Amino acid sequence: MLCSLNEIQALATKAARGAGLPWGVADEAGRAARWLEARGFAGLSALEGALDRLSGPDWRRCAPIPDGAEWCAEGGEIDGLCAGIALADRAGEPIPHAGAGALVLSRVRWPLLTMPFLATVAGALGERLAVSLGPDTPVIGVGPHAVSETCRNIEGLPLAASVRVERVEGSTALQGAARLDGSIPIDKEVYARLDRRAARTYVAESAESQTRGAGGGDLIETD
Amino acid sequence: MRLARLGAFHQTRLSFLRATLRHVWSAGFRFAYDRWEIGDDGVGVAVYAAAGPEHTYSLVCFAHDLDPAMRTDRVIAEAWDATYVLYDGIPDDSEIERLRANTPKQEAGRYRHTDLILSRTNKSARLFDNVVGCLAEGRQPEAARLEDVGYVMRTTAVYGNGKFGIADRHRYAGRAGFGAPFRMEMLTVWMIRQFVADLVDHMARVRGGSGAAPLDRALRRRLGIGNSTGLGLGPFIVNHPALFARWIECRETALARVCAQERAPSEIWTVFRQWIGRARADVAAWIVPDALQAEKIARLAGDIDRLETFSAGFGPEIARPWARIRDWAADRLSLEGQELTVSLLIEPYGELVDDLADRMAIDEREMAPAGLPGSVGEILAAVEDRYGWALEPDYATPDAQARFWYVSANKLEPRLGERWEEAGADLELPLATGRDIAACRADLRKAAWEECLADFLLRHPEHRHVVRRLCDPDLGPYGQIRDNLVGADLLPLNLLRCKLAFFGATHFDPKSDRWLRINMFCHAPYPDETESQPPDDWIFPRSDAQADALLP
Repeated sequence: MLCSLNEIQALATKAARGAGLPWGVADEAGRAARWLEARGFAGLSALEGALDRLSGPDWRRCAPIPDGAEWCAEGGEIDGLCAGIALADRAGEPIPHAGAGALVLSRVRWPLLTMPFLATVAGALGERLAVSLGPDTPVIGVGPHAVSETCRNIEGLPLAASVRVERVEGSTALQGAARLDGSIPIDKEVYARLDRRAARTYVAESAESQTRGAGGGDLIETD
Repeated sequence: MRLARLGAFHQTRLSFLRATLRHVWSAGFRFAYDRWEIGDDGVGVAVYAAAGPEHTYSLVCFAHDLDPAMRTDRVIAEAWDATYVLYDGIPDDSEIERLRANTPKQEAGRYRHTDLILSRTNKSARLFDNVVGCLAEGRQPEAARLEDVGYVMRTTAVYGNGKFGIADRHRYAGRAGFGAPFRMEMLTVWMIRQFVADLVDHMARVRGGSGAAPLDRALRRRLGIGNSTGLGLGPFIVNHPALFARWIECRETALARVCAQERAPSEIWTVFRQWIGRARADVAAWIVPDALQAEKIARLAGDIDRLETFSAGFGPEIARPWARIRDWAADRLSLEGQELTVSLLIEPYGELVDDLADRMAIDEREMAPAGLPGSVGEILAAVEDRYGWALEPDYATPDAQARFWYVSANKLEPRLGERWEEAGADLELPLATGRDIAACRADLRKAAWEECLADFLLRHPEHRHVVRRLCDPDLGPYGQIRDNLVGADLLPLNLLRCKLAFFGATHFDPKSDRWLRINMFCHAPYPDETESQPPDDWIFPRSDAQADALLP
């Protein structure tokens, strides 16, 4: 099915909230999904995968413990969305300069979700970032508001053993993935599963509350 | 930025529908029928093309035969008298068929990025048949009856920005004249008004044959497009605080520019005095059954008389006359009167303020910018210094949290519930800004002064939406509605009225504390009058002599 970017953001936000995440975190999830889909990456699908873990009462154990140059999570695996939020909140504070090593995130679930936040970090730092998931995966370049086409290699990746992030010297210019402009193709099954999570944010109405909540008065217009 | 004041706003010349018409005139848009396939039964399709210098927009109209027993303006409706899409370009036959299969279903249909705006209208049962009947008999309807209702059809929803698959706003926000808020929506409503007028004439011809008369143009201009609006509109100005702050800032800037004038040129002074008279005539025609609003209107009528008397007491030669009027109004008039005075002060100064209408949009970021500035101590100090309105209520008392906002499962629209009487408060929307700021402050006070906000939010992710709001540099002084939006004394109508005033609506007609009817484009020229009428001298009715002077 074809969706607008606003629909994608609204669906992702509500699904994240329906999964039990706080409103502010759900808002970040919605923005990230939209950012990715606008560049042709399967952000909704990644979020849908991530919400399986994030929907539990102990979801905070998926957040990184930002300590030193190697981050891990109390629960053993860092969620990609939580990693991105933590990095963006710190404006990339612990990411070393080129040649001085890298920030390593250990065992990251759905690392695609981290990319939009790294793009905001690149914007705040005014530098490009290089993201590496191991010798078998091409390096992903991240610039202000852009990510390289190599990001497609991690689109469906549910777990990365490690994610290394380092600053890149020189130009911030990056040939990012092309922007899409609406009518984004979305997998119907993914949409339906997220829609079911979103539905958990809705309140079923009684006949009385349906009338009262909408404003009362006569429902059929006679004037 | 108290809700009671926002709920007293009136349209100004910065309002979106007025700015839209100014753009349509200045850009030289031309309007034409592309298709008229409405049958004798009033059912069918019509297409109007609005050709601008770079783009053509087509209003695709589907007229239906609606059982009156199904005619409800509320969002619970599933059928309407007419349904519309504003299409980007000129639709070919296959596109018309695609739209025919979806548009009548409204929210239940699916749309594409070529479809810019989705809308529907219902007839005013009071007026539509009366007007058609009169015209079919070859006579004009009574002017007083037209003014009593103000429209023969009313929109019950106007959807934009990506809803149900239609175009995201950013697709056209870069086009000249359509970057400012809600311009495409306003263009749509204005073109719908043309369709409605044409449908009336068409039905009169069907019924009356060669003896039928077309609706007189001067009478026709007295008809606007009605609109029924409910709580769906309410959360917008809370959820888009930076955008809303910009709207208020532009309005305040316009007023400040006018009030900074040392002297009033005599011709502007004369225009101002004329507009007082025109406002009086408009308010005299603003008759509503709602007792509270009727009382406010009665006081407003008295305020207009006092404004006229006061401004007659001095001439344009006095120093800073506009600031003097503004200050006098703030001391002496009701909120409605004060805010109408703002509109009247701005009105004669188009050359001074109209540029602000193009600055009322903001570039809403895809992602929040990286970095949370400051520490726990710094943000706590800011909250305690500047958010007294949020901290003042005792949220432990039932009345302070009597309501909750939620999305209904039935229609996926915002609703207002009674927290202590209805189920669902655990699913409330984050619109209790004051209460949530107070809750965040309680946890900030328990945290170490020097802790960075990133660490605080790692421990307290439930406060992220509050901290984002507190740290947003775009909010400025106008980004927060300084009232309890879940309190027992909340009047949700004020949220709707404020936004509708920015649209340019008039004749607010409350039907309960949470939905109302309005009129849009009443007295405005039609798309087929762009060469014979001025674009922006109509918001309050002209005297008959003034109107006659403008007739072609």
